Amino acid sequence: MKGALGLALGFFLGLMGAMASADAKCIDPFATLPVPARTAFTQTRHFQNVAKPLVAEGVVEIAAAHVRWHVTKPVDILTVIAPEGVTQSVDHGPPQALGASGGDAFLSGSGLLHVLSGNFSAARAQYKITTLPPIGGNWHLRLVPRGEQVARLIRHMDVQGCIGVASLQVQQADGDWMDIRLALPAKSK
Amino acid sequence: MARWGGILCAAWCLIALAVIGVRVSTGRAFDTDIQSLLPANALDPVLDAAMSSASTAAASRIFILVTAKDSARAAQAGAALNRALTGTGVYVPDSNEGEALARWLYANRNALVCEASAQAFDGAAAARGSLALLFAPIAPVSADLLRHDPFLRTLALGQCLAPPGKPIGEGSVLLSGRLTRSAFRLDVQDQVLGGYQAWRAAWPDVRAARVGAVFHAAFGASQAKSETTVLGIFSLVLVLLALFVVFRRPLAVLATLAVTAAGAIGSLGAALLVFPSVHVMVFLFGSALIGVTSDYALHYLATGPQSGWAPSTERVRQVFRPLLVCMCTTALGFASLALFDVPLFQQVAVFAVAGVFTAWAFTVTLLPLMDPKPRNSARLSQWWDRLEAPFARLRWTRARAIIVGLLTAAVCAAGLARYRPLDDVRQFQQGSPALKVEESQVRAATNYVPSPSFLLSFAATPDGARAHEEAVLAALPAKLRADVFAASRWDPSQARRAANTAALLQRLYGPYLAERAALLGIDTDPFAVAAEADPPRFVSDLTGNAAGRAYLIAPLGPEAAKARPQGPGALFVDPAARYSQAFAGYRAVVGFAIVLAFAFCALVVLALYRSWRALTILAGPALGVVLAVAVPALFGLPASIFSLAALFVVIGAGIDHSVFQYEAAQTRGARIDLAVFLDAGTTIASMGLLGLSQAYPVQAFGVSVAVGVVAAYGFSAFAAHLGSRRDT
Repeated sequence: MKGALGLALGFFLGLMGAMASADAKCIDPFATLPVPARTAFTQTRHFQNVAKPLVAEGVVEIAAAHVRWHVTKPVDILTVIAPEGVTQSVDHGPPQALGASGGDAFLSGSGLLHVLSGNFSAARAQYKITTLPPIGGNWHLRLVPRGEQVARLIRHMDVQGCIGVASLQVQQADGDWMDIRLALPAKSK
Repeated sequence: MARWGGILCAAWCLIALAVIGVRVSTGRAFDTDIQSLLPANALDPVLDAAMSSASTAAASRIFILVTAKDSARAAQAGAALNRALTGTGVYVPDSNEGEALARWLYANRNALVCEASAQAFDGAAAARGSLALLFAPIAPVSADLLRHDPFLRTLALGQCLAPPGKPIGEGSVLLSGRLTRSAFRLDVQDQVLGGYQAWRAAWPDVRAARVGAVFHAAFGASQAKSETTVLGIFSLVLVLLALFVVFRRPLAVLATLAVTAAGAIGSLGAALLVFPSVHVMVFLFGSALIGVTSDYALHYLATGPQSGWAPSTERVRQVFRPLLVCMCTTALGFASLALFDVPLFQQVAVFAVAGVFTAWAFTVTLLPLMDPKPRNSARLSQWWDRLEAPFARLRWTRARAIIVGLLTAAVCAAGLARYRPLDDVRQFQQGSPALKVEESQVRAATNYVPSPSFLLSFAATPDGARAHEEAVLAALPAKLRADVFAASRWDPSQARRAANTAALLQRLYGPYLAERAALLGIDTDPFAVAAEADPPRFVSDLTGNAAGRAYLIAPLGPEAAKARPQGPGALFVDPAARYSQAFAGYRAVVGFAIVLAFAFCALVVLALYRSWRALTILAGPALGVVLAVAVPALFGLPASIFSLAALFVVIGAGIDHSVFQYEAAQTRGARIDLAVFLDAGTTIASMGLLGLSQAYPVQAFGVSVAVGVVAAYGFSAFAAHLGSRRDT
């Protein structure tokens, strides 16, 4: 379970990491994408048979060696993913190790830190990636987990973008789904 | 009579052969478990069962750290290794247990808390923590789960109850799992090692470090099998070479081989009939039998050149009584080992008694049919006489007796002054250096430090045992409590469950449920679904029943073990110390058992010879026993239950030599010196070789046997001389 948690977070954040700088020309998603610095995101979680989705907003900061996924609304939650492990702090509280050894092992063992830095080619080792017809001029990819453990959680992910990832829809194995949309990247502080 | 005896002996050999064939084909005939060396009933039944459960659970664990040039390669290699091990059919990865754990936590989400007690439960922190799970994009949350578990207790408990660990570094993955069958079974070892080695060959660029009893057991079994082969073959070659030189007839060699083979078949067949499996160490102890059983053939064959190949009935008559005495005393010496409650010794006793009996029966019934009078009998008799002649010049004199006596006394005094016992089981077996390095690599990468110590909680009912465990944990500081893997944290007592549920109602569901339902926009009822689930395997493995009492095992980490926690209905258990204590106790019993063995032998000797003077037969073995203790001690080899067990062999073999010397002196019959020398020589050579073993128990046994038998042989001639003088 912890492994799946770590994997899902890592992958989502990895795709965010594929965001490129503002450039009107679309970049081949399998080329090494430039690593962005900070960008705002909106995360909307849809549950089956529930009318009201759960919406969260925040800022993601991506570097070569770590990712900071900071939810600012409706509650302050900072998740940091690094090779040393995953930590989470709530309401500016002290960071707590997340997932103990299992989740961290899964995260680092899955090569997701490569994905987080925008390396889709490396992601092929863990995910089967197919190219779907473009939508509105954006490239459109579908990622299907190769491993059984991840597949128990995620059925597939659809990613759209041009110079980087602009949106992501995660279809969970249980039928629920999640949309993540990214604003234009801002300059790093 | 002899004919029927021969038919019965042949029939028994065939039956034993069939038993061996059937049992070996099942793959469960041989055992390599170190625990089999331990006393069976030395401990309280609950403690005994708990130590066995703890050992089995610990021995079934496997950890393999796979490291490659990058994480992707490591993940691929790890997945391939997982497939290879799972494909063996005896390995289950821990990831497969996740679903059972999730079901258990979901079913018990309202009876468990992360905190050490219900009083410490913080409802506000639990509500806040669940928001983190809810809005972070990683939690496997569904609408159904939120309806019945709006505070995501299932996920939170999965996080907080797991022991803290260390992240695995970049470029590595850690595989963990358990074996579904005993790690000490040879077939399981072959399967696991086969799968692992095939994977190693397919991934040459990847490094792997292993932790697991199965790897140590496989190393030990491989070493023991290799030693058995080398020592057994070398011993056999020495014996056969000596026979060929003395008898100068291939038939004599074949006849000796036949007796030795019959003894081996009889011993193994009987052991496999009596025991579910035979420990491989039995073969190392039992290989000494080659030297003993070959003596029976040797003594019969010696009557050929000595008597000019008299009729076989006459030759059998000459050796029947001394061989019977030898067989009975050797059998009794080995049978005394059964007095120890050590499964290994009981197996050795059955193995050896059946072996010497079969070899004796073969010698007096079937061997005569294999040794007809040769055409060059006169020349062979002359050769025998030439070899015998030098022994006539070796005689005990008063001066020699005084010198040897003083020397023996000095050695005994010096040896006993340096006497040092060894009862620590951790020093009995040296593991593979390569595996130790691999273990240190896994430890460095994961902080995983296996500790054999545990807290044993027991009571008339499982609930009582849980309550005892909880009470001990409650008294520990938080840091030490985190170093204990307690089943009651996952499956608490009824009282603790009720308290936890009350705390959840008062401090979480009461103040925060309505607010949470509004946030989610759904109707929630945390108690609506009463799901049933079995405890996950790692929890059920820590529980058991013995002697009408329920018990719980809580493995302790190194820090908690140092605190030696215990309380009412709960004991701190260090298995190695317990076993060492038991071994020390048995060492004290050995003294009594040796006296008992001498008493048995004395009765046999008196019954067959009907003379008090016959007790001089026991002088050689007695001095052999004393020197077998003193000489190894003099050279710094510690004494243990294994070296003391060797004294029984010294008694048996020493009496063999003395009996033939005594018989020859009493009956004024054919000279027996060459035969006894050959007898002793082959015995010493084969048994002394055990001292070359790398395994301390076998080495200690071999050295003591070698020293003791040499001494017993030397003093047996003196005893016979003394006995014959008194008769004159």
